Amino acid sequence: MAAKVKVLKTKSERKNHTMAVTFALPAAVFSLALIIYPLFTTIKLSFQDVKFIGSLTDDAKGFTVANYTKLFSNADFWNALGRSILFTFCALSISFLIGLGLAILLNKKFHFQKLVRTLILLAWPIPGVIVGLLFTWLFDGNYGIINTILKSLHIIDQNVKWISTGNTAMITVITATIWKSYPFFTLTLLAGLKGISEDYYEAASIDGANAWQKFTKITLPALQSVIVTSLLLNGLWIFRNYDLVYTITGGGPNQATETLPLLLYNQAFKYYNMGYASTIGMISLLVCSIFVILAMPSLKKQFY
Amino acid sequence: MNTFSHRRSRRAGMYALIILSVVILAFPLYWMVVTALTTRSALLDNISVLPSLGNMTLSNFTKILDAHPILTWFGNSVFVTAFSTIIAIIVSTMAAYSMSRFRYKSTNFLGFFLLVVRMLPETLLVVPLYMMFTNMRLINNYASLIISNITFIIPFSTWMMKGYFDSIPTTLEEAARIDGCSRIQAVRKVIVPLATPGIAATATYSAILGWSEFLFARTFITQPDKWTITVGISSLMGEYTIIWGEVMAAAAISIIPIALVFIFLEKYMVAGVTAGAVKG
Repeated sequence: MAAKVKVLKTKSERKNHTMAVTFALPAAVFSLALIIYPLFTTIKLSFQDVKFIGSLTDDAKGFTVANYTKLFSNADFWNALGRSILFTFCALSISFLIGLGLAILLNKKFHFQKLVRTLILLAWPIPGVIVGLLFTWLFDGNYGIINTILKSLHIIDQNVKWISTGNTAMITVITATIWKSYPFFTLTLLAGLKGISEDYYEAASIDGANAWQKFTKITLPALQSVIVTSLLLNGLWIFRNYDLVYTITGGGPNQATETLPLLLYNQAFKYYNMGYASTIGMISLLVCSIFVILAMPSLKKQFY
Repeated sequence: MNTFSHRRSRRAGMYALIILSVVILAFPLYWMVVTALTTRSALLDNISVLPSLGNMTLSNFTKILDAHPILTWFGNSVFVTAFSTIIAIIVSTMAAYSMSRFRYKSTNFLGFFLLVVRMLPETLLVVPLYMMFTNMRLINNYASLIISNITFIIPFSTWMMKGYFDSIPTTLEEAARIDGCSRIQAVRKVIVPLATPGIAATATYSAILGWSEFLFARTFITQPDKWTITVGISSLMGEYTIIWGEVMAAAAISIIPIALVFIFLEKYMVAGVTAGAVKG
C-alpha cells in the first residue's frame, strides 16, 4: 500500500490527484460535519454537568469528571453493560451458527433454489421496529401463537408471560434479534463459499477426506476473514441496537432488558441529562473500539 | 447400488432440512400476513397455525387506514428514503471510484476513516446531532433526517461500491481514453454502465437502511403528521388496547415496498456482496 503512494511530479499526476480529491470530497465533508464534529461535542459534553431542554442549561459550567465517577458508581450502568454483553454474545453466536448452516445449505444445488433463498433472506430488509412489533405479537402472553404452538407440543402447560417477566423477556428480545441478524451472515458467508474453488474439495475427496475434515480444513480457513468481518459488523449492530429492544420491551420489565443504548437514550431524552448520556456513549464507543481493534488484522486483509 | 440409495437418502435429508428451515424462518412473516387478514374475534379465540378461510377479512386494513394517517407516514418515508438514497449513492459512487482507482494518502485515509465511522453507535451521535439541529432550527424539518441518514448510509455504500469498482479492470478505462475519451467521459460512458448492477445492489442496501431508520426519525421529528412509517407504526403500540390484526395490517403495508425492492434486486445483492463486501 505504501509503495503505491506516489510523489506527485508530472502534470497529469497532479490532475489525477485533483480528481481523486474532488471525487472524495463530498463523502469526507458529510462525515466530518456530521460525525467528527458531533463526536467531539460528545467528548466535551461527557465532561460537563449539563442538561438540555431546548438549549443548554448552563454552558459556562467548567469541566468535571463527575459524570464518570457517577457512572462508575452506578449499579444501573454496570447492569446495563453486563446485559448488553450477554445479549450481544447470545444473539451473535446463535445467529452466526444459523447463518453459517443456511449458507452451506444454500450453496448446494436443489430445486426452487431462488425461491428458497429469497424466503430465507427475506427477514433481512424488515425494519427493526416491525420485527419488534411482530415478535411482541408472536410472544404475546395471552393470544400469542408461540404459546399456542408450545402448548400443542406439550412443552408448556399454560401460557407463558414472555414479555412481562424478566428472563423470558430477554429470551424474546434475543430470539427477535437472531431472526433479524442471521440473514446477513447467510448472505456474506454464501458469497464467501461461492468463491472457494471446487478443485480443493475434489482433491480432498481423492485423498479420502470426510465431510467434517473438508469443512474444518478447507471451508473454515477459506472463510476466515469473511467470518471475522461479518461477526464484527453484526456484533456491533447487535450491541448498539436500539429500535428492536425498544419496541418489544422498552427496557422493561424492571430494567430486565435495558441495554446500554436504551439507558443512554432514556438519560438523554427522558431526563435530559445530556452530559451523563454522553458519558454512557463514550463507554459504548470504548467497547465498540475493543471489538474493532481485535478484528483489525482481518479487516485490513479484507478491505485493502 | 448401496452408494446410490445412500446418496438418495442424503438428498432426502437435505430437502427435509431445507423445508424445515423455510417453515421456521418464514413463519413470523407468514403469521404477520395471517394476522392482518384475520378477524378480531378469531384472533382472541385460540387461533390455529393454519387459519380457516371463514375468519378471513380485509377490514383490518380499512380500519387502520381510517384511524391513522398510515398513508401519510408512508409517503413521508418514501420521500425521506428516496432523497437520502439518491444523494448517498451519488456521493458514495464518487468516493468509491476515487478510492478504487487512486491510491493517494488522502483517499486511503478516507477509506480507513469511513470504515471506522461505520462502527460508531448511532445512539452515541444522536445526542450531539439533536442539539446541533435544535440550534439550527431543523427539528421537525426533513433536512435533519435526510442529512443524518445520508451520513450513516455513506460508509456502507462507499465500501460496497469500492469492491465493485475493484472488480472492473482498469484496462477498460485506459482503452476508452486511448480512443479519445477524457477521464470523466471514460467514467461516465464505460465504468458507470458496467457498474450498474453494483449501483443497484448498493442502492437497495441504502434504501433498506433509510426505510428502516427509527432512532433519528423518532428524535428529530416530533409532529405526528410528519412521522416516518417506522415511528408512526411504533406509536400504535402505545395505545390502550392493541388490536393486533390492525397493527399487523399496518406493518404489512409498511414492508411492501422494501420487500418488493429486495425480491427484485436480491440477485444483485448477492452478486454485489460477493464483489463488494467480501473479497475471497
